[in-house]
Formats: sequence, C-alpha cells, structure tokens
Amino acid sequence: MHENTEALIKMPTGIEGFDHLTMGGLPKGRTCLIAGSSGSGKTVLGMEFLYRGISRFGRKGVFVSMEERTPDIMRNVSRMGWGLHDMVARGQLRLVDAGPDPIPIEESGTYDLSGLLVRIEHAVEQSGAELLVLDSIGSLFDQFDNVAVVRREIFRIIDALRNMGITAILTAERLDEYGRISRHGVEEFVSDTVIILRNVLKEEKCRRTIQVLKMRGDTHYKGEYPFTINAPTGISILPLSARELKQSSSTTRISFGNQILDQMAGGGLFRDSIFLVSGPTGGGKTLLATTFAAEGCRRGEKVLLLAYEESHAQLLRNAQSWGLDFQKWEEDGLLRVMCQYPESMGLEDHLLLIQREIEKFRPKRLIMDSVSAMERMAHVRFFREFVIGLTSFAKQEEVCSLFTSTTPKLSGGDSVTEAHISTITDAILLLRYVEINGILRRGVAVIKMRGSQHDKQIREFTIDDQGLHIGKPFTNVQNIILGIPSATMPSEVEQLGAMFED
Amino acid sequence: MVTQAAPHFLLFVTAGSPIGERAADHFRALAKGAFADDHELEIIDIKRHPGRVEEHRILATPTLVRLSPGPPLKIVGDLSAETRLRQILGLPARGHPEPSCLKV
Repeated sequence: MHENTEALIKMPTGIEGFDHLTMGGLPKGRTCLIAGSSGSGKTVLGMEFLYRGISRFGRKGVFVSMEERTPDIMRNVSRMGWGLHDMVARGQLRLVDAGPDPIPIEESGTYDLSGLLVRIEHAVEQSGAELLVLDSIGSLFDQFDNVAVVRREIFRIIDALRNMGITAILTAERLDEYGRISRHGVEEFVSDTVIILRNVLKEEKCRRTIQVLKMRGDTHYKGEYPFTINAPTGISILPLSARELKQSSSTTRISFGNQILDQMAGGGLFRDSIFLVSGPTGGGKTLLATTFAAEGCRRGEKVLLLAYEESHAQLLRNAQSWGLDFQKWEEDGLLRVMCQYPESMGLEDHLLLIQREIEKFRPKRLIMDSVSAMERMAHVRFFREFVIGLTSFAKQEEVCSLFTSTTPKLSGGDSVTEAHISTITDAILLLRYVEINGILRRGVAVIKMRGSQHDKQIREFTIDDQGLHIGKPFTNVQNIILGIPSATMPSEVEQLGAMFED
Repeated sequence: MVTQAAPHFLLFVTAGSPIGERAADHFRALAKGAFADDHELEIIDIKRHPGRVEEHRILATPTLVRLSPGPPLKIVGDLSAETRLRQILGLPARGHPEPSCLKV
C-alpha cells in the first residue's frame, strides 16, 4: 500500500534526449528493464547511464557484467573515450565480473543465487553507489538450468536493489524486433519501467530506435524515437516530435534581402520562423536562398548554409555571378557552407550533425537547399520525423530557417516534401513557371504567413546578374498556383483583387 | 598450502541457511567414505567473506569448489543427488542409498 501512494521521483540521466523522452529520467530508487536484440545498444546505454551519472551528477555506479568478462566490456566501451578506467581507479565506478566462468559448473540439487546478491550488495556498500547496471539479467537463464530458481532469484535481486534505494538498469535480450518483449519473459519481474531498443534494417538503412514501453504511474513520450551512437557523445536520442512544438513567438522581423518580398510577407520574416520555398527545378529557389543568406551576412548575422544538391565551388560561383562574395563572408566567419550528399549518412545522423553545427556555430539564419533532397533518402515517415526534428530544433535555437523544396513538375503541383512539412512551416513561398502567350515567365506568391497578414497576389519575378527582381502582380491570368494559367477577363481579376485586399 | 594430492574443497554457503547445512552434511558424508580424514573442507559464509565470494566468482549458493585433486570444478546445489555428485567428482559409485539420517 505504501508503495502505491509513494510518488515516483525521476532522476535525470544526462543521456541526450533520454530525459526528455522519459519526461525527467528514470524513477529514482527503482529498477528499469532495457530490452533489445543483440547489438541494439543495451550495454552502451547501461554504461553511459553510469558514466553520465558519475561525470555529471557526481554519483557512483556499479556495473555487473554477466555476459562478458569485465576486461572485454571495458575494451569494447573504451572506443567511446569516456575514461572509464580512471573512474574505476578513482573508485567511482565498480565492476562486478559475473561473466562466463572459466571453471566448469555442475548442478547437484537445489540452490539459490545468494552469491550474486552478496556480490552486488558488497559492491554497492563498498563504493557507496546509487546507480547499478546489470547486463544482462537474462543470461542467468543460460548459466543455470533451474528456471524456477532463476525466476525467484531475479525477484529477490530486484527487491534487494529497491531496499537499498538503488536506481538500476537491468538489460534483457530479445530475439525479434517486434516479437515478445524479452526472452524468458524477464519484463514480468520489472514492473516499473520497460524500455525497448531496436536496430531495424529498413530500406537498406539501419535504424536504431528507443521506445519507452511503460513507466509506472507516470507519463512519458510514446512511440519509437531514433537514436545514434557516436564517440564520445554516446547515445543521442533525437527528440523529434517529443520536443515541445512551440509556434513562432517572436515578433521581431528580419529582412528577406528583397524589399518587395518583405512587403509580400507583411514586413519580413519572424526571427524564429521556418520558411519553405517551393518551386520547380531552375525556378529560382537557390537564388532566393542565396539572397536570404547574403542579407544575413550583410547585417553581420551568422548564416549556416546546408547544400545537398550543389558543391561548395558551384555555390560560390553562383553567388559570384549575382555579385555576392560568399568566400569573403566565409573567411570573415559569418558564413558556413556545408555540402553533403544526402546519401552519405542516415537521416538521424544528418539531423544530429546539423544540430551539433547549429550549437557550435550559433547561426541566426539557416538555409537547407534542398530539404526535398532528403526525401529520397528514407521512408516517408522517417522523413517527416527528420523535418519535425529539424524545425523544432531550429525554433528552439531561434534560427530563422529557409528550406527549399523542389516540386516534381515544372508547372508546380504538390510534392511529398510539401505534403509533409507544409503544416510545420510558418510561411510558404511558391515559385511557379507561368506560360503566357507562349512565353515562360516566373511567378512568386506567399501562400502562408503564420501570425501575420501577407500579400495574396502572384507577382512576376525575374532573374538577372543583379539577382532577383520582384515585379508587378499578374493581372490577366488565373490558376497559376495550380500550374495551368489561363487568361481571364480583367473585370474578374479586379473583383478578386478587391476580395483579397487586406 | 595444501599439496596437490590432498583433496581441498571450499563450500560457499549462507550461514544458518538450511540448504547450506544440508550441502555441508551431504559433502561430509560423501567425503568420509571417499577421502577418509585426508581432505580439507573450508566452509565459507558468503556474508562474512564477500571478498572470497568475489575472488571465486560465486553466483549460486551453496557452491562447492574443488581446488584439488584434478582441475578446478564447481558444483552448485545442496549436493543431495549423491550418485550425480560422485559422477561429477569422479568417485566410484556406492552400492547403498544416501544415509537417511542426513535428510532434513
């Protein structure tokens, strides 16, 4: 009874994204089960839990290794560069080697696992540990024949850990990524928190995910969240939709770099807004992006330009052709251009890299040319997660972001990218080809401007060696947005114009 | 130090636990016939000697550790299955069943 009324206190782990996902960390003084297939990252997660606890929160930890000998574990984890050997030497981390016994073991009659329990208790008492990882609890079933005994003893170990007030992680293997939670049904013993790690091959890409299956008496984010493992940062869980989706809240406007465009957007872009530029290939997207970047640099704002379709040299040359000296801004430290093949890594890694770059470079403006290049990289759902992750991070860091998106047809129309990100962006600008009397002209329109009025007209724009020029609204055609412009009677245009005048 | 030839055993138990006492009784009964007085048995209370538990990598109790003769060996359990125990230790089988007085 007492247990049920006792409020669970969550203890932050310091693992990137983990505390957000679990809404505060692991329940303090309780045991959490981490289930995952072989190679899903259980041991690294367990070790990082101890490493962060020691290095960030000054706690002490015990690692009970049941699958591998401790020297092997230490060697495997040493690639993370966490200095665990020093932590062991300083008595902050204590290892209990309960791995495979080199001496043959026979069974004769009944037994219990008090030996293991004594070793755990001894290590905890000696080190003054608050944290413990037992990797993996399931291997007890491999070491001992009597399943009934092992089940009973796991209960006893969990009970003892709770009595000692230890916040513990037990790991358990699973055989199928979407089958039963763990081999031997270990999850039945750990009633507080169950977390699943997966390593799924999907569309020729390995994708690691973490899911909080249950967390007793408390809320957490549900569903699978991708994560990466890198040295020395360890596990990084990408928060994606787990981040608070806060809408554009800044009222400060920044200039687009073109006076008429600013007017069309009701006076410029909000400082923390996400702006999508959609258009067919050759429609002027890169020029718009370049204009936006140049304006930032001119005002002394740092600009991060992520290019996925053009090389660094190409970008510089393009800018040069419009009279913009990107090279100088790069040398001045105002502009950072990152060119990458979308295929060079998984979406999670791209996202992580961008986040790190934003944190390091602290840009005021971010350009991604194009976001649709990422679309062909992965499953639609993962792409959407990527965009949500990126936009929410950009918003949080108050980076004004411009994404370009290539429409599949010259005349416009929807693309997958737009379908998935238009609701996330704060403003959308459409670039379209308009064929009028056999001549191809370019049109531009602001179709969405969250939190502000905007120009509803479609204007003509032209490109020359000075850059872009926004002209007058088209007055004698309709259906430009739909890609099938047709002539219309002037009187009707005037009527429509009047209807949309703000 | 015990010479290589002299049988030397460690028995890890939780002091006062019936299954530990049972294991000790079973082993003594066996050793009496098999080794006479020429053997050494150390009974180690795991709670009082956690260092030795760690040293010998004990997980289960009771655990009988054979240091000699022969290669090191661990036998987990209350040693109640005498025939099996003899088999594991490489001792000749005995014709009669376990002494009933040792049953708890």
